[in-house]
Amino acid sequence: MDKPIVICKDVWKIYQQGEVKVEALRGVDLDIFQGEFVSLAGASGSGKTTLLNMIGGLDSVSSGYVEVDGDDLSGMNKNGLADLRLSKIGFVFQAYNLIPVLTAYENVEFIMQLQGVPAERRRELSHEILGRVGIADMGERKPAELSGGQQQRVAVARALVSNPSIILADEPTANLDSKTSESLLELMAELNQESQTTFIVATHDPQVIEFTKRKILISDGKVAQDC
Amino acid sequence: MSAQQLNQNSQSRFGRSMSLILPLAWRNLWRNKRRSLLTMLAIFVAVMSMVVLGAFMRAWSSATIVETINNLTGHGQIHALQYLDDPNIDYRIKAIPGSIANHLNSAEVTHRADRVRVPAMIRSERENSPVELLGIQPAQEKGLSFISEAIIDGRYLESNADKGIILGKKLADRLQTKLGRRVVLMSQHQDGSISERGYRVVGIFTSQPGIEKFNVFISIQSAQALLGIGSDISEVTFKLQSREQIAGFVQRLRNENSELDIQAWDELQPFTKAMIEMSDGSILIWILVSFTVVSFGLINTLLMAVFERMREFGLFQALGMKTRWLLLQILFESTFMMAVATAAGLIAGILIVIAFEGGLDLGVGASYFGAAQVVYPELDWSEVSYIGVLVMFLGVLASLYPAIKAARNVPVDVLSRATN
Ligand SMILES: Nc1ncnc2c1ncn2[C@@H]1O[C@H](COP(=O)(O)OP(=O)(O)OP(=O)(O)O)[C@@H](O)[C@H]1O
Ligand SMILES: [Mg+2]
Repeated sequence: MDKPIVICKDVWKIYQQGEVKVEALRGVDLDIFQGEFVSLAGASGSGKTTLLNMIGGLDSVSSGYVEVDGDDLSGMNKNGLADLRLSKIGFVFQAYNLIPVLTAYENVEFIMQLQGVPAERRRELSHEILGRVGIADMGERKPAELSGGQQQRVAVARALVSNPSIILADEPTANLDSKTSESLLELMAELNQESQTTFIVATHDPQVIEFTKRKILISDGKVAQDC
Repeated sequence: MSAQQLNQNSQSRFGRSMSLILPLAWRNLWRNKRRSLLTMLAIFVAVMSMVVLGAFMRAWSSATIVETINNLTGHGQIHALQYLDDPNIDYRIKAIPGSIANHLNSAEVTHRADRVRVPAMIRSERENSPVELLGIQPAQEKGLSFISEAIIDGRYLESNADKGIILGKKLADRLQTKLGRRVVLMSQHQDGSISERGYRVVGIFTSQPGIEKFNVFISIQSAQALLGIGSDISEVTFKLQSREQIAGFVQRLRNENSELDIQAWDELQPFTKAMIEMSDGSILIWILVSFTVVSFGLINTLLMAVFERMREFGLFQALGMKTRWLLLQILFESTFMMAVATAAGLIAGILIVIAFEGGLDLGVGASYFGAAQVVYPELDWSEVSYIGVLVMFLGVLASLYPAIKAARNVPVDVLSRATN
């Protein structure tokens, strides 16, 4: 493994809530390499989501340095960050992952559409990927007509379909039963193996932590353990 | 990459984003059908009422003007100075000066009639009543005033020397007289004495209640004889080829002569003029009020739609959609809503106006105010398109605020917080 795909150097994030300052991240140092499957564990409020937001360019750091796939995020404006997210990062959230008015196919195609992939190619890829995540026959359904697990599969499919450098998943299994979680995890692991896409999963779920090769424990806004 | 390629690329990118957000906007519009439909209904009603009200008000104004002009006023009148303040036998026109006569003979003037017009008392064998006596030139009144066509019983006056009198139906009823009976007119003679003569009722007319009760018509020479004024007259009434010429014509007459009082119809009938101006103003007020109501409804609907979808907007942004596209998406949503409702409102308004093109009877009540009783609404396409454009423009303007709110205020933590 050569250069890390994600580099965090002394990352601080301080939220100002009225009079109160909340130090959500207090000097995170972290390198993540291409093809890794990493879990971010930690108590509620420890800063997992905040860290994912920093890496994903959803929010800006208070101080420190974040680099994703060679891009220094601190130097980017809003539009630059939007482009970065569009081209390099796939997101899977805990819930509300999908756009309600679009079908599963359309949700999967959404990013490709933003990227300007031609319609035929999009169709092809979206059919293929929904097949790979095991819900080929549900492509025409709207999110409301899918179960939680199926929705998460669509979300993973969408995150994956445009070949991002990393996929950031924030508690992707939180709304799923353990069996469904298991199969979603297996799916992600499989995809991680196949395409060498880097996965960073924030979670409290022991099942997920168990599953991942590299386990990072966040505590009080810092990396407490990395193994 | 050449400049051309770059340009092409950005163009296709624009097209791409459009094909992405247009369907999204359309589908989002129907997510909360009831709310969208209610908002659209409000826009629909507002637009429809603007079109209908505009057409009816215009019809009403123009019918009222025509009515006023036909009711003895003409496009303008000439009197002796002071006559209008005190319409009295003493203030008469002895001779029309040549310069004025020249103007009255010009091609612009389509109708011209001389009248004697004084207050009088009318008496039957049973009742009496104060009236306004008009001595007219029967042939000249044709096409100028209503009277030649308003006879419902008996006949119209036949010559400038006709000996008969024409009464309104209401006055005849009041005097308990009828066709063929005799009535007595009493008025002030030019020498200051009271002059009195009998006339046979040869015709009964109908008109606006005020005129029907108050105006009686005899031939001009009968009137001149009754009052002992030779060939003097009280007024000249004229009508021009078109209403647009009135102001200029009146000005020219005034420039010629300051010994006579020359007035246009709207100066002679300030009440009618005020009424028409008020109705024009009320259209504007209605448009403003209904549009204000509608835009608040629209803003409200959009704000609701935006706030309940904050997460989704967060998602769009997380997925890499730029804020300007988000903004456009909301704008399109409201534009669709406006466009559909405005189009429907315009069409409905147009159909209603067309349905009443044959005339709408406002009832006798209207004529008490000197307003027209039957109005003929007419579409003014420039007004219709003006309403359409205005509503669309203001609608899009009104939706800018919610759209900006949606696009700017998407804290990314809406997204992550949503998970808790
Ligand atoms: N937008 C914000 N404004 C103020 N404080 C915030 C904001 N976002 C997060 N925080 C605070 O920062 C700290 C870290 O929050 P974060 O959401 O990263 O925790 P987490 O590890 O993801 O927790 P959980 O497991 O509950 O999701 C918390 O104390 C939280 O209250
Ligand atoms: Mg979290």
